[in-house]
Amino acid sequence: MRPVRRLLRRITGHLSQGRSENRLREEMEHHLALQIDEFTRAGLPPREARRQALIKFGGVSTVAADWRDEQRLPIVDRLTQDVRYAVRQLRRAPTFTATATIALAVGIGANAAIFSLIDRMFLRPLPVSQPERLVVIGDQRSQAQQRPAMFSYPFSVALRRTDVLAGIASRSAVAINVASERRTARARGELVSGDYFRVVGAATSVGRTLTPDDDSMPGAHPVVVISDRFWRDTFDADPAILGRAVRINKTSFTIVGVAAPAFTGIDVGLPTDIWIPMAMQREAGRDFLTDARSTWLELIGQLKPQQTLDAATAALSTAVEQLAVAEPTAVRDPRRRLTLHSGSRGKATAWQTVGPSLTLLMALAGVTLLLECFTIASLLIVRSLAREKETAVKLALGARRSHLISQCLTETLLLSLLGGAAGVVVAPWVTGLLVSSQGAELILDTQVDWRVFGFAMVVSLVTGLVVGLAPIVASSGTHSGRRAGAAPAIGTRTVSSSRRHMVLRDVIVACQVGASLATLIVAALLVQSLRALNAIDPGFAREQVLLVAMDPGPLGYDAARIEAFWRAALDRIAQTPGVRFASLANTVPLASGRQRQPAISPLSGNSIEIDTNPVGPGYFRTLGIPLVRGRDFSGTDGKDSLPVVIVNERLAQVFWPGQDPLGQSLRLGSGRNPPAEVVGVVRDAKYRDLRQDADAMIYVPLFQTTSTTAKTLHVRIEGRFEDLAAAIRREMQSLEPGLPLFGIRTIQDQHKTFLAQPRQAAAITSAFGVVALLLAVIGVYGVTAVAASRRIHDIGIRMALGATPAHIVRWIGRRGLVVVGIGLTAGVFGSVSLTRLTGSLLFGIAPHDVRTFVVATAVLAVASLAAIYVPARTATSLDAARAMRCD
Amino acid sequence: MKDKRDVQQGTLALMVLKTLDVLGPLHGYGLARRIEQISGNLLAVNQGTLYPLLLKLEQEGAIESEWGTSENNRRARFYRLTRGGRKQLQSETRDWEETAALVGRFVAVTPEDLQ
Repeated sequence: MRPVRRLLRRITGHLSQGRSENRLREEMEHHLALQIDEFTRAGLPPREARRQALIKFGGVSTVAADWRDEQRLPIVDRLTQDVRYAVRQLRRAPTFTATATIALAVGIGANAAIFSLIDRMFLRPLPVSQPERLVVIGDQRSQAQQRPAMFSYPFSVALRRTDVLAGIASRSAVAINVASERRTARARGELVSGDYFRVVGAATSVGRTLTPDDDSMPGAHPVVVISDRFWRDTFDADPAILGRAVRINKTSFTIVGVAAPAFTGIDVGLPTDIWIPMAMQREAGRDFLTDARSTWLELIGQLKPQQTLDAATAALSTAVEQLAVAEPTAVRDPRRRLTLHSGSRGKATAWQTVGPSLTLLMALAGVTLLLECFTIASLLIVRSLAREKETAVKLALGARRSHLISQCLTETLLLSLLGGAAGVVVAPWVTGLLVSSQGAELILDTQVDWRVFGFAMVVSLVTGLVVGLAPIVASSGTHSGRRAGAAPAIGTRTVSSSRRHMVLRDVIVACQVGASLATLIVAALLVQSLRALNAIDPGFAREQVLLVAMDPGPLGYDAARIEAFWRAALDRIAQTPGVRFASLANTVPLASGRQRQPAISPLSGNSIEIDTNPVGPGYFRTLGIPLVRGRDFSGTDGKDSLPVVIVNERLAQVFWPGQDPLGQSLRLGSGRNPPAEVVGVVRDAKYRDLRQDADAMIYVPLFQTTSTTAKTLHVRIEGRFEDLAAAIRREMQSLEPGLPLFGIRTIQDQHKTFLAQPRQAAAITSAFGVVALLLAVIGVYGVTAVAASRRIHDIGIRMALGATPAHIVRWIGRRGLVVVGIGLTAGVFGSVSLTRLTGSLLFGIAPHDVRTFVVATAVLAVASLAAIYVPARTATSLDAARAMRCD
Repeated sequence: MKDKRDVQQGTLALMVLKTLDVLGPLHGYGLARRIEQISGNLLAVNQGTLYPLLLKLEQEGAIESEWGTSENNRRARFYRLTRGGRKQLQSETRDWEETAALVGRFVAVTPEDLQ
C-alpha cells in the first residue's frame, strides 16, 4: 500500500509543484534562522554564525533538488526534458526530419493497410456473441480443396433435428432483385434457416432477428432482416423501418429487423444485404425443398458448452450413420465423412483470390520498411559521428551513459511515432485502394480501428528502437573510452570507434543495395508480365462493347414470355442511336462463371464436359469474334426451327480433326436432346483465362433453350459509354419497370478487372522499387560523403602533393564501390530465390529472366556510381590549404 | 559509497520516527537538533538532508505536518507522528532489534562456535 500511496502523492505533487517549493524555502529559512540565532548566542559574530549555519545545513541547492525528486516524478521530468531535446534536434535538421517522417509514413502506412486487410479477413473473430463456439461443417474433400462443403435441403433438415451440437443452421447466398419505393437494385441475399441468428450469435440493432417460426412453413412468412449497410444506403437509416415493405424478386417482404452494424454475415468480404427465411426459398429464386440431389447449402453449428471439436466430430459421424438408416432419402451419400472446423473467424471466400497477392505485398511492405530503417539508421550514424565531440564533452562533464542512450532513443522514437501517426492517416486510403483494385468481389470496411492503430504503433515503436539502437551500438566504442578518460575523444577521434561506425554502416548500405536490387527485379518482372498479359489477343473486341446484366427470372414469367421480353429488348436497343449491333449471352468473357454440358465426342463416343454459351442472334459480330465458316445465328433460330450450334475452331479440331465441321451433328446434354447441326465455325476466344489457350466451346442459340436465368446484353456502340448506358437504361426501364440493370460496364472494364491483380502487383512493386532505389542511392551517397569528410585532411595533403582530382575520386570512391559491389552480388543471389516465389504471378517471362536481371543490376549500378561520384568529386573541389587546416 | 548512504538514510528515518514518538510534534530544526544530540556526528553536518526525508515519510503517511508558530514566534512547519507512523516505528524497531541481534551474534562469533 505504501508505495502506491507514495506514487499517488508524487503524482499530485508533480502537478502542484509551485506551492510546495515555497514551503521548502520557508522551512529552510526558518531552520537557518534558528541555527544562526543559536550560534550568535554562543558568541560567534553574525557573519561567522551565518557561515557556520550554512555549512552545517549542507548544499541548499542539493537539498532542494533531492526534495524535488522526492516530491515529484523525476522520470517524468527527465522524459519531458528528453522529448524537448529531441524536438529541438529534429527541428534543427528539418530536411532529415521531413524525409524520414514521410518515408516512415509510407512504410508504416502500407504495412498497417495490408495488416488491416489481413486482420479483417483472416485474424479477427466474427462480431458475434460467442465466436469460439462456432463451427463450420465440411467434409474431407471440401477441406482438401479449401472450399465450403455443400449439402441438400432434406439432409440439412434431418441433421438439424439431431442434438449433436447446440444448434445447426443452414445458409446459402443468393443474388436477388430488390425493389423498394425508390429504386430497384441487385442485392446479395442470404437464405438462412430460422435459428441462424441464434446459432451464429448475431443480434439486431432494430427489431428482431429471424426465428424458427419464420421458417416453419414454405411461403408463409415473407419477412426479412436487412443489414445495417443496406438500411443506411437504401432507406437512409430510417428509424421507422420496421414493417416497411421491400419487394424481393416478385414477392413483397416485410422488414422485421436491422442487423447489428458490425455483423455482415459469416462470409467476410462478401457482406449480406438481406437475410431471408429458408422457407421462402421459392420466392427468393431457389426451389429445392424436396430435392435431396442438389447440394447447395452450407451448414454452420454451435458447439455445446465445454464440447470439444473432436467430441463433436465423433458425435456428428455417429449421427450421420444413424440418419443414413432412419432417413435414407435425405442422406444420399452415407459414406461422406463429415468434419468440423472452427468458424470463429467466419469464412473468407475472397481470401482465395486476394490471399497470394496480399502475402506478396505484405512481404514487400515489410522489406521496404526495413530498408527505411536502414537508411534512417545510417543517416543517424552519420550524424552521431558528427556529434562524437559533443558526446565526449557531455561524458566528460559527468553525463550518465544511460541518459545519453535514452536521449538518443527518445529522438528516434519520436521520429518513428511521427511517421507512424502519419502512416495511420495514410493507411485507410491505401486499404481503400487495395480493396477497390480487387474489383467488386471484396467489400470491406477500410476505417482504422484500434487493432490497426495498435499495430501501427507497435510497428512504429519497434522501428524507432531498431533505428535508435544502431547508432548506439555503433558508437559504443566512444563511450567505452570513458574509463580511459574522455579526454582523447575530445581532441581526436578514437580509431576503434570510427572503424566500427564505418563497418556497420557499410554493412547496412550493402544490405540496402541488395534488397533494393531484389525489389527492382521483382517489379521489373511483374511489369513485363503485365505487358505480356495486356498484349494477349483474347479473340474478341476489346473496345466499344457495352455489357449490361439483367435477370428477368424473378419476374415469374414463363420461358415464352421471357423470350418475348429479350426479343423486345434487343429490338429497342438496336433502334437506339449510337448502337451498331446488340445481342445477348449467358456467359461473359473473363467474368466468373461458366456453363458446361456433356457432349458426345464423335471420336471416342465418350461423353465429355464442354463449355457452352447460349447466345442471341448477331452475337459474334457484336462481340467481334470472327466467323471463320458458315453463318451467325439469326432471329429465326428458335424453338420451332431445327436445332443448330456454332463451334469454335478448337472444338472443331478436337471433335472432327481434319474434317469439315460444317454440317456435322452434335448431341448436347443428356441423351434426350435431339442432335444439333453445326452451322458455323468461329475463331477461338478466351473466356476463362488469358494465360491459357481457349477452351473448346459450343455456342447454342439462346432462343432454342428455355433458360430463364440472368443474361448479359452485349451492345456494340459508337460514342460515349455513359450516354449509351443511360439511353439503354431508359429503354429497359420503360420496357419492364422494376427490373434492375446491374453490372453495367464495357468489355474494356471487364478486361481491366481481369487484369486488376497483376496490374496492382506491378504498380505497387514498382512504387516500392523506386523507393528502394532512392533509399539505396541515399545510403551509398552517405557512405562516400562521410568517407570524404573524414579524409579532408588527407585529401588536402594529397592534392598539395599533386594528386589529380580523378585520382582523389578513385581513392575516395573505392570504399563505396566495394560496398555497392558486395550489395549487388548479394542482391542477385537473393533475387534468384525471391523471384522463384513470384513464379505463379508471372506470365510470359521466366522468374530468372537474364535480361531483366542484367538491366536492373545495371540501372542500380549506374545510380550508385553517380551517388559515389558526386560527393567524391565535391571533395576534390576543396581548397587544399583550407582542407589541411580543417579539424 | 551509495550503500552506506542507504543504510544511514534508513537509520535516519527510524530516528525521526522515534524522536517524534518520544517528544511529540517538532519542527525541522528541532528534530535536527535532537537527533544531533542523540546520534552525535550523524547529523552534525548536512542537516538539510532531513527535509527530503521528511517529505518522503509524509508521502508514505508515517508523519503529517502543519504550519504552526515556533518558540521565536516564527511560522514553522510542525511534524507529528501518525497512527500509521507509530505502527511503522514499532515494526521497524522490531526489525532493527532482530537485525542488530543477528549481526551482534555474528560479530561475537569465535572459531569454536562454528565447529
